[in-house]
Amino acid sequence: MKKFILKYVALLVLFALSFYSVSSYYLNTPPSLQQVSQTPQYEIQAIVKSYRGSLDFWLIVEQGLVNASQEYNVSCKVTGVRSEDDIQGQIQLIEQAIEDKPDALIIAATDYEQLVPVCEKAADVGIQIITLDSDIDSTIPDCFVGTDNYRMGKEIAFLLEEDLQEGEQVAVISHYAQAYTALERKAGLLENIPNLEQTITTVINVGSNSKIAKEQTILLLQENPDISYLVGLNEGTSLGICYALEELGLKDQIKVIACDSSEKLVKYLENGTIDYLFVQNPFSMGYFAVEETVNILSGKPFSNKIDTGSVLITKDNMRLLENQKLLFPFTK
Amino acid sequence: MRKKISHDTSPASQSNNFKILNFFRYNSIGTSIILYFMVLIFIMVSVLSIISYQNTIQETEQISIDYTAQLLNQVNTQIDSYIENMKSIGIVVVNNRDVNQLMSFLNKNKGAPLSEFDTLTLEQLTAAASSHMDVVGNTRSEITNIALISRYGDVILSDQSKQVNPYSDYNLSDWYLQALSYKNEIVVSPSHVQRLIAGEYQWVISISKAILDPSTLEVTGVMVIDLNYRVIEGICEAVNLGNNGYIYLVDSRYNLIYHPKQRLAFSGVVQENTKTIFPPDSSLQQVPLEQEGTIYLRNSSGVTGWMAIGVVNTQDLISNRNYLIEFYLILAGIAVIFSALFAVLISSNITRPLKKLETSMLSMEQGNLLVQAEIEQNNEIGQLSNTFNHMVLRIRQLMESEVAKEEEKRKSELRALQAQINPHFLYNTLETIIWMSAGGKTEEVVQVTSALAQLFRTSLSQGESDITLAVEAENIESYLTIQKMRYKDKLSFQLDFPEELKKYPIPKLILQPVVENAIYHGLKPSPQGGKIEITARQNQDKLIITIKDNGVGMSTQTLQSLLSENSESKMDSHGIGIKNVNERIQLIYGSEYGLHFESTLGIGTTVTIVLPGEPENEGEIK
Repeated sequence: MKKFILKYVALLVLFALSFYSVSSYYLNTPPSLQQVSQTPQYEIQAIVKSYRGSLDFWLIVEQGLVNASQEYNVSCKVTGVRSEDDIQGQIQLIEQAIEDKPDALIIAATDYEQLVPVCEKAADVGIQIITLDSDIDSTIPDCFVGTDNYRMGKEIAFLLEEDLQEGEQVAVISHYAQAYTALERKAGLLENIPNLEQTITTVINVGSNSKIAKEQTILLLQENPDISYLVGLNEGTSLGICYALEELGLKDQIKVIACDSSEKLVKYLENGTIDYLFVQNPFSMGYFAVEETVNILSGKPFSNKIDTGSVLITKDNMRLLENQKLLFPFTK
Repeated sequence: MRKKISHDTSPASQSNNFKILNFFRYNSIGTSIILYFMVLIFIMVSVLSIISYQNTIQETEQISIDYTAQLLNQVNTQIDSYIENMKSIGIVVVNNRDVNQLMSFLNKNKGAPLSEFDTLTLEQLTAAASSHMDVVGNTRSEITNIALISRYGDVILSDQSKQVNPYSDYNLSDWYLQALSYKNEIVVSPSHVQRLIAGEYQWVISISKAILDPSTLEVTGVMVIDLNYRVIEGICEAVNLGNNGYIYLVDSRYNLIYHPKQRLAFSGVVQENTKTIFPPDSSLQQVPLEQEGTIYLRNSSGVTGWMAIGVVNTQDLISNRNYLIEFYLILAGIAVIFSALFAVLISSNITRPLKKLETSMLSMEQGNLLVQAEIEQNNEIGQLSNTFNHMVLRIRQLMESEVAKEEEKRKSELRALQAQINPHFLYNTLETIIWMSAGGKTEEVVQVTSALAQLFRTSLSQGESDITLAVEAENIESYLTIQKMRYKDKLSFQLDFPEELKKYPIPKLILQPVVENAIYHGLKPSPQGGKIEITARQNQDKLIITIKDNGVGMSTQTLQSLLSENSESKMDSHGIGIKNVNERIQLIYGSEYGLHFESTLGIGTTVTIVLPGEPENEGEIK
């Protein structure tokens, strides 16, 4: 009997000990807060245009890219060409990027067609291609993130249709002709305007440099005094128009439809130079571009096209909170 | 283990029944205990673990929610106090003498152009007022701007180095309109871009109030203080929910004031469906969203009407959950293992003594009556063993007494027989006496009668079952004398009993039946009769008495049948019988003593009686 009691007590003690040790281990070492792995999941490179230039639009796109890469723990190196029209420069940058062999390339194409060969080269070595703001003429990109430019052009057409008086003439100041955004917006506008020949009398392609745009606009107005409506298709051209009208003192005489927004353009909207401002969402563009790239790289479902939208803002509705959010990027 | 036993009694099914019975194979108690015990422990531990775990999860969730609710309250309290603070700063500005003087001046002027004198006055008043505002503005770093706006459109900034934006359309702004309409109250306007200052477009929260003339209490203008998000952000970020969620602020119209990811929220990348979760008419403070695994909590401020919303991520408790599950599983595992060990220990403690008892019983079943079961414990099994031991003892006793009884019975039978005298001998002897007497042979009559008396004396004596050889020698002499009287020349005898052997004890009536047998079967059938020689000798420790006759002898068959069972019938003719003599000797002394026969047909028979020869060997009949 004694042996039994001995064994029994020994077993009890063992049991209690093991329970206690397991409990104290588990209850005293709580699960450590999961350390966010320092190594990024993927390597992405973004090659934009008007990189760190004077156009706010691209600065904000870059902010979106950076923000998303932090959220998703990927490394996103952003480079680009200084001017929106430096096609060769961008091709070179892409070639360099291919050497680095990133997982994906996000490209804001300076030219709709000329970028295709180098992008194909990149795709051949297994790099995923995503286009941002400006697309390329190819099926290679898995996804395009940007505004529905054609629709924007169409909306400009509707605006003009409503607002134009009999006999009023419109001049369109476009940026680089072969840029996707220019192509699409022009198409959307020109294909949907009634009485095209009578209405839109001039279309000039001046590039995105606002100085050049200003000079070209002044020239245009001097040559065509009948023009009562100016349409700027992007930030650079819109700014050029505003500078031109400011210099000529014609801000109240000529109506302006502008695209994109920056603090400078807002000022012109406030003072009445710009009558209608089509504002895109560059932050979302940059952000969703990275987000969707991560989806593609990690094999999750993704969309082929993400429309970041555009909103028509006037002096009257610019006070609305939603519009303020678009016009004025939130900084603390 | 129940099985349905079919009631179909056809031969086929009957064999099925046997099969079923065979299924109830031997199932050790030990195994049963272990099995049932383990199942019980396992179920108990599982149930307890599950309950405990669920309870813990619920508790954790509830704690998380309670904590978040507390944090929300804290946030609101702090923001309220902050806003109240700001409001009082606003009051300070609005009540300031310099500010009011400036406003009065501007209102009296009604926006008209100024004379040189007035311009100077205006400059002085402006300087005073703006300096006051500047001082106030410097008390807090988050104040980006303080401005005064007269009823006629004059805008005075606290920072005189900055330009007024001529296109600000302030008169359409909420902060301006509401200040005017609320007159005596301070208005808080959340999240908007202040465009009063040229070239500056900052996101601010504005505190505005109508400026009232101290004497007339007319509205002279509007004061606005712009605050950046630094403080609010500081308050909200200080309450960190870690991985478990986040807190954001909305105003009474569900517009976002603060969000940890404000940039994303403002660009539409991140969206909060506050209005759907907490509709205006809802009084719910807590809304769980099952699909997303989150719980939304809110706390409304009485001061501002703003709502602090807490989003608790219950899914993140999963890392806790998995940890907990792991913990409970391990505990359960340990419990099951130990329960198995305990079960084995306990059951063996019960079955071991049972097995020992079983072994003892089997041993007894096979005939071992000396077996005693070991008594280990003073419990039911111990009692059983004890009782078993008593039983074995009892059986052994009974058996021994049975045997003893049989023996006793037999012996008394024999003893009884022993006491008998062969009646035939008696009749014959009496007849002999009669014709001897009738023939006048008086001496022979005396001889025979004396001899007979002597014989009676010996055989009828009770008590002593042993007599000495001397007495038996006398007996046999008497007997033979009597027989000689009858048979005359047909019988002759010779006795040889050494003196030293005469004191040996021998049982009663050993010789007489043998001699009787020799006379009737040996000599009587022979026409010429014969001679009987009786000799007593000591051989080592045995007493050998030989009765030899030269009568007709016996065949081998007869010889064999003498001592066998069948010779019972001879008892009638011979009284005690040879067999009985042999039996008695063997009962008393053992099987190595008794009668031995040698015989040859036509030659004679020799009977040897083997008895123990030591005088000290009492050989009592037990």
